[in-house]
Amino acid sequence: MANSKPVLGIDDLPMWASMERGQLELQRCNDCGSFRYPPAPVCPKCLSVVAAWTPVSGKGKILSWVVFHRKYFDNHPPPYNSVAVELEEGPIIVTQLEGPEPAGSWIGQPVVLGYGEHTGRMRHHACLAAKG
Amino acid sequence: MTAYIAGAYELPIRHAPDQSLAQLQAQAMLGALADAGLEKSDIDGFFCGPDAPGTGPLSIADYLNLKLRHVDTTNTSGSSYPIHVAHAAQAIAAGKCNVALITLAGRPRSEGRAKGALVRRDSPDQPDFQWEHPFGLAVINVYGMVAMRHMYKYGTTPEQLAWVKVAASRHAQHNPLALLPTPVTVEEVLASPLVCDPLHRLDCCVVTDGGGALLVVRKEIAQSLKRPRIKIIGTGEAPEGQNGGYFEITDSGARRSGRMAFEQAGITPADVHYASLYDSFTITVLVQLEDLGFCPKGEAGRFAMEQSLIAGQGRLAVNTDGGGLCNNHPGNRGGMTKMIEAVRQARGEAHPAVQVPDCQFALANAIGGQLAVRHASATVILERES
Repeated sequence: MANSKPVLGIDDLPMWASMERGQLELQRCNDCGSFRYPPAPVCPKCLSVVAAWTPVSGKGKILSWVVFHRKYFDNHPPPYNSVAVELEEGPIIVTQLEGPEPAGSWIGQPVVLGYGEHTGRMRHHACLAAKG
Repeated sequence: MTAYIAGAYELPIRHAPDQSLAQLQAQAMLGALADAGLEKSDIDGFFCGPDAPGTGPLSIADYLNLKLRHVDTTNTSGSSYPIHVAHAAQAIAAGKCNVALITLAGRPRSEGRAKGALVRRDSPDQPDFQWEHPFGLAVINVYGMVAMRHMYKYGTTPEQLAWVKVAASRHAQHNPLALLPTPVTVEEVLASPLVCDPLHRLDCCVVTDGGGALLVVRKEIAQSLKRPRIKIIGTGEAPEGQNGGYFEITDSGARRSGRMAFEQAGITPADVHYASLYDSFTITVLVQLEDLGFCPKGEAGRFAMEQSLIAGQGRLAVNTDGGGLCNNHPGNRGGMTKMIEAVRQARGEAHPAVQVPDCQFALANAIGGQLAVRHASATVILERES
């Protein structure tokens, strides 16, 4: 019963819908152009209340990472990783690295978002990208 | 500010399968009253967190039969209690109460959270919920990411993190009530199982049942009591969020809460030789050492490795009760025990083996919530008044 199965919150519906389409969208301020995360009613940069859900490129770099070795969520069997990714649009998001893992520190590694099913719905993850 | 901490009491219990939260709250209150030399009828203000069962402050106030004219249930998780101290001092200054009771009680060990077995229940109405749990983000993952980035950015090492635990364990050996009273070595910390790489089991605080209570009183009452007068000379509270996704994960609200508290107190970190620092994980202590100004940013690992945190050896004794890493972290909320050991040090009533000589000032800092994503830092600076 203890799992991290998503329960939709009203603020988050557009994000989950965008991942079902395989293209993450975040709110972008109509006035100053800043992307923001998590969803919020007001732009953190200019306080504008007008924003549109806008696709992000999916490109970013790993800001930090961990490998968790204990069972906590039923639907995340250990070991599994968590990564914080700084998107090229600016905001930091939390996701998980799938596929090949870098040797040594993961920090600074370029990644690109991919999409796959988890606990019955589509969700983003990060994959290593070629450097440059 | 003219408020004083007149009573401070830590429940001796660490595992309470047969006691209710309400009973633990009552024991904590009675202990603090006995410590101060006050009567229950003196209490006219009550401060508690959501660990108090029932409807805000009302159920426990009813159970304890308190006659109140001021209540406050500010909840910033583990830092609630130093914030309650600050708010109690403000309420006393505003004439809203004379004797403020602050309580904490919790039973996570008895309730199955000792091994992280029970997932913290967040509400889908919480605006950040969707962005974390679906990606497997537990509390320790966030702290682990802070540690990993601190290591990357500043060259901090697992050995340096381990020194925080070593210092706590050397203090805990003098505390007969500590859950983990045996000193450990850096090698033992590093050999303990990785829970969340780079954090080992011994980088994590204990999970304990128990709690404690504080009594904050106005000056005239403090002067009437037969206890050392411990004055609250500076406080600061700093809630921090993700700033729309633009933030530095190795920074904490302690930069702001510490600056506010030091400015109000009119002293600097160099004047302080005892600090209770929130030790949910070893990395939490390093971040606070830097952000409170005890060492430059990025140098806390070296500061810890130089044995600076060990009473009688270093320049800043930290968590001389053994802290959350070895002694007690009741209710998964460490702010109460941080306050209590700071009061002991300022009074000169810590264990003689770890008492800081002539401890004029004592600082307590707590980080509630989760470092990086959303947390509140709370700083309280105490002075022993002669």
